[in-house]
Amino acid sequence: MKHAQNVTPCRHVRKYVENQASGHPQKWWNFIGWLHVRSCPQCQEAMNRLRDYFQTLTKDSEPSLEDESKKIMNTLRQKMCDDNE
Amino acid sequence: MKSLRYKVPPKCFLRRNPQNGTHHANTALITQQSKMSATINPAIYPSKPSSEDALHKYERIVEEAIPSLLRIARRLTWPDHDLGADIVQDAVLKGLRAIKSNKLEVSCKTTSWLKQAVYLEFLMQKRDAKRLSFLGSESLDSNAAITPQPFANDLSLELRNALDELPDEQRILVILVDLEELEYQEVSDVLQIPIGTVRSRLSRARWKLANRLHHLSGESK
Repeated sequence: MKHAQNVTPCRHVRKYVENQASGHPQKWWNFIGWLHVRSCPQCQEAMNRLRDYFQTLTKDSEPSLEDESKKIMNTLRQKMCDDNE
Repeated sequence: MKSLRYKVPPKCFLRRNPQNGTHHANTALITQQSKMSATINPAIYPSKPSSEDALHKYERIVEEAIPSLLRIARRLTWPDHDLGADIVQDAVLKGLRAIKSNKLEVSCKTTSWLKQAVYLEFLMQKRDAKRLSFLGSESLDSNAAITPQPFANDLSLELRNALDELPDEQRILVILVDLEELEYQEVSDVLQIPIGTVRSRLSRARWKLANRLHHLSGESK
C-alpha cells in the first residue's frame, strides 16, 4: 500500500529538491530548503525517488543508430541528386 | 526637452578648436561613420548562399543531428522502431523541400527546426492512426500489436513503460531535457512554448516518472 502513494515535496521547497536530486544544487541561500528537507520525511522520500529517477537515466546509455542513420542519409543524398538532374 | 536633445549633435562628432575653445563639426568622423553604415558588414548580414551551398550545409547539419533525431523519434514511437526511422526520414525530406522552396534558411537553428519537425510528424502520424482506428481499418501505429523488447543499449523497460504513460507534451520534454540534455531555451524554441511552461510541465513529468518508477521497482521486489 505504501508504494501506491504518490509523494511530492512541500511546495515551497520543490525547486530546491529538484535541483538537489538532479545534481545541480543551488547557492547557499537554499539553506532554508536544506533545513526543511532535513526535518520533513515527505520531502526526504520525494528527493530519494527523484534521485532514483535521475540515476536510472544516467545508467542508460545510447542505443546504436548507425544503420538507420546511413539509410536516411542515403535517401537524402538520393533525393538531392534526383532533384538536381 | 526631447526635441532639444536631438538638435545637439553627439560629442564625438564635435572637434574642439584649441585656440578659442569653440567646437565645430568633426567632418572626418562623420564621413567615416556614414561610410560604415553604407557598407554592409558581411559578418552581420551574410550574403544569401546559393542553393547548392545551402543544400550542402543542410546535408552536413542533418548528418550531425541524425543520431539525436533518431533517438527522439524512437523514444516517442517506442516500441515501433521502424516508425521512428520513418518519422525522421519524413522530417529530413520535409526540410529539404522547404530549403528548395526558400521557406527555410539553413542556419544554426536548422537543428531545432528538424527536432520540431520530428515532433510534429509524430503527432501527425498519431492523429492519422487514431483516425484510421476510429474508422475501423487497420491502424498504422499498431503499437499494441508489437511486443515491447528492451534492446541492449537503450532505456530500461521500466523507464520506457513509465515514459509511455506520460502525455505527449510531457514525454517530449523529458526526452529533450533529461535524455537529450537540451537547454530550456532551446526546448522552448523547438516546441514554440514559453520557457515557464517548459519548466512546469517538465517538473510535473519528472514527479510522475519518479513515483511511477518507485512503484514499478516496489512491485518487482
